[in-house]
Amino acid sequence: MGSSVKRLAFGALLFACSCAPLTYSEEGAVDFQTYASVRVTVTSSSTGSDAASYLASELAKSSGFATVTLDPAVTVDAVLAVTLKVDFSTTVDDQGNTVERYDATADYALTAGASRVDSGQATATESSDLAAAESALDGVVTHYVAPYRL
Amino acid sequence: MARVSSGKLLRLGLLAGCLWLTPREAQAAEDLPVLNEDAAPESAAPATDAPSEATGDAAPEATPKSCPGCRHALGAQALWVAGKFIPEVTLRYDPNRWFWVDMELGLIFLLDPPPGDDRVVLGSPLAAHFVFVPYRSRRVDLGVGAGADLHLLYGVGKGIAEVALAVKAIGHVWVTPRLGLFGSARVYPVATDGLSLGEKRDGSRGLPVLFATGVEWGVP
Repeated sequence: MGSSVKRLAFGALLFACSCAPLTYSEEGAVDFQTYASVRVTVTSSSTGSDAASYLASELAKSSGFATVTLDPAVTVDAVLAVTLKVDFSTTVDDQGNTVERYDATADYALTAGASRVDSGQATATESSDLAAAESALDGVVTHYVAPYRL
Repeated sequence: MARVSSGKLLRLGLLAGCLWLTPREAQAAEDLPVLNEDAAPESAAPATDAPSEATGDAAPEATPKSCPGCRHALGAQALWVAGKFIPEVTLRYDPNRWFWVDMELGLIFLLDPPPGDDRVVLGSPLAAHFVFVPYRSRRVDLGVGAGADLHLLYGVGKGIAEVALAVKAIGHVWVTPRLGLFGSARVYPVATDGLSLGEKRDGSRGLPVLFATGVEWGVP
């Protein structure tokens, strides 16, 4: 190896030791200080599972809400209302086989008193009713993920 | 009646002998290739492969390779990121003199988590880059490329991912025909809001160039 190549490699190595900052961040969909507690209600056409319990559980794990409840008697800062719809359809693939497909749509709205704070829609397509419903609800949880800066 | 001397007889005898022998020698010489043709499928390949394996060079009889410097490669690299350790497995698909495709898959370890945060693994970076290679030699490859860098942050939350358009320069030095060292520098001209190269956690600015160095095993 020539001395110029060695010098180049050494310079590249030194330069490579300059570590770049790389930051992952999420500001939060809403102000979680203001809306620290939330009640979850789900209106669902899915027959697979208890969608409200699943959503509340997932929000409690990774959302920015400090308190998540299903209890209507508890006083909360906001109410997250979700309308979950799952549509079944079949398609025929290239081999002539019938493929079942479930399209789920979760329309959500966060309200505080009479005012709407935030709203949106999450969709998912899966091969079963339960998977489609949970994937769409996961989209809602991702939207309300706790703020981070890592 | 003509008289024939013994010397002439001897010369005639030698000539006749040569005329008799020559077709048979020629026939024998023609027969050999036939024998060789029969044996060729079994004997020719080892005869040409043996020196190739021993020396690492192509045998003169072998069909010339379209891209002698091209090597598919499997390697490992580390991305030089402040506060994180990002080891990756790399794969290079190198079908052509002028370009190759790099693929990367790794893990993102958080070395200095914020207070109250106990996360260690944030997720996985996944990348694919198309690299144009203007310079190749037996020892050195230099290229520039572009592609997508996907950061799957499953350690932060389900379904969270950030993506960036990556533009990179890359150089490889082959220490042996199969063992290489490489380094790259990339920038993210376009990225999703949650991915900031060159921005520290406190918001201050740093070097917006991401370096990586690694080692790889090439398959010529």
